[in-house]
Amino acid sequence: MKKETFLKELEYLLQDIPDEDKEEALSYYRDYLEEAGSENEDKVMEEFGSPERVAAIIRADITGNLKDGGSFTEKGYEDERFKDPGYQVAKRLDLPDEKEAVHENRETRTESRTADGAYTNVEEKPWTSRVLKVVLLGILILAASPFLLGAGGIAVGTVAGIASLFLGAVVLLLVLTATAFILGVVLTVLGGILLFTAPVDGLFLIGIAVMGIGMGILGVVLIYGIFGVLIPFCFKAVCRLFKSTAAGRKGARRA
Amino acid sequence: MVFNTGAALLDGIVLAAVSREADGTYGYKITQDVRKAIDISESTLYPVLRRLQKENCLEVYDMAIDGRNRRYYRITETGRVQLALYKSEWFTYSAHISQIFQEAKI
Repeated sequence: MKKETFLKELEYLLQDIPDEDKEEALSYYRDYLEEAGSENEDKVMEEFGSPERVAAIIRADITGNLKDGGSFTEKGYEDERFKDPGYQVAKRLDLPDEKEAVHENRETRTESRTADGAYTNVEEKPWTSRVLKVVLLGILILAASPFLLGAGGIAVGTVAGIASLFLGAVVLLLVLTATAFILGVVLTVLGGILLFTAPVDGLFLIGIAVMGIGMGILGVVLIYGIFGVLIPFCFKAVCRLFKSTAAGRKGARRA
Repeated sequence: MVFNTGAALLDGIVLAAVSREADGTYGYKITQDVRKAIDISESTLYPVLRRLQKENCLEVYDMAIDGRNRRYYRITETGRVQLALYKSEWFTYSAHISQIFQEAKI
């Protein structure tokens, strides 16, 4: 990391502390790096750790956290309560983990360092998500349910009514057709038997039977019309409706 | 180093290092001088110097060197009194510790 980058980052991290304190701290570290000379710069900054760590040290001092049990020793900042053997700097809530901080820093800041080299605030990822959207949609539906139930109830009721009427008609037609066929067959048999004893009555019955069979055939034709033509037509019509609305939306989006 | 340097001892060492320069000295040099005695991190001294400054043990002044301002630290009278206290305390303390180690049977 370059010296200027380090100092800029430090300045960015200290923007919420009083100006006087910030300037003092920044000029101290700037002086320090300048005194170290360009040949030692990298080594010194490496020992500084991340700008976050230095910022945390400055901040800890300003907010008086040192008196709480932390102290600066030859090993750096240490806190008796949070001692971690073998670690140079005590882990404390306000002292970010050195490695983690550097890593995080690299990850989040690289993008924000724009062509002009200036620091722009790190752009955050949109905080919405698919799950959140679904939850919000659910809340919206719940909130609108009185209206939806009113209008939707009428619509569903109407559709269900028409559908059941249609279904009833179809069932009636099926029953009538079946009855006509059965009647036709039975009457034909009866008429055939009667033909030997009372030919006129037999012929009459056979005539009625033929009529019944004719009505049955008519029923079959109607049923075929309903199941073979009308229902597929309705399906196709509904499908076409959906397709056309989808295409309309696509067209609107393109326009 | 297996022995820890407490805050008071570190204050004493820093005051001693600064007191050696009558005209004052600057952050980087103080750090390098202190590092001759104990192993401290480069970033450690700023809060210590700041605290000593707030406690009026050190005073600061800016001096233009090579066209830019360098901040110098100089020991105050309060600082000298404090340093004298640390110094005498240390000699007593270290003498006792040295004695007990010398008498130790290994």
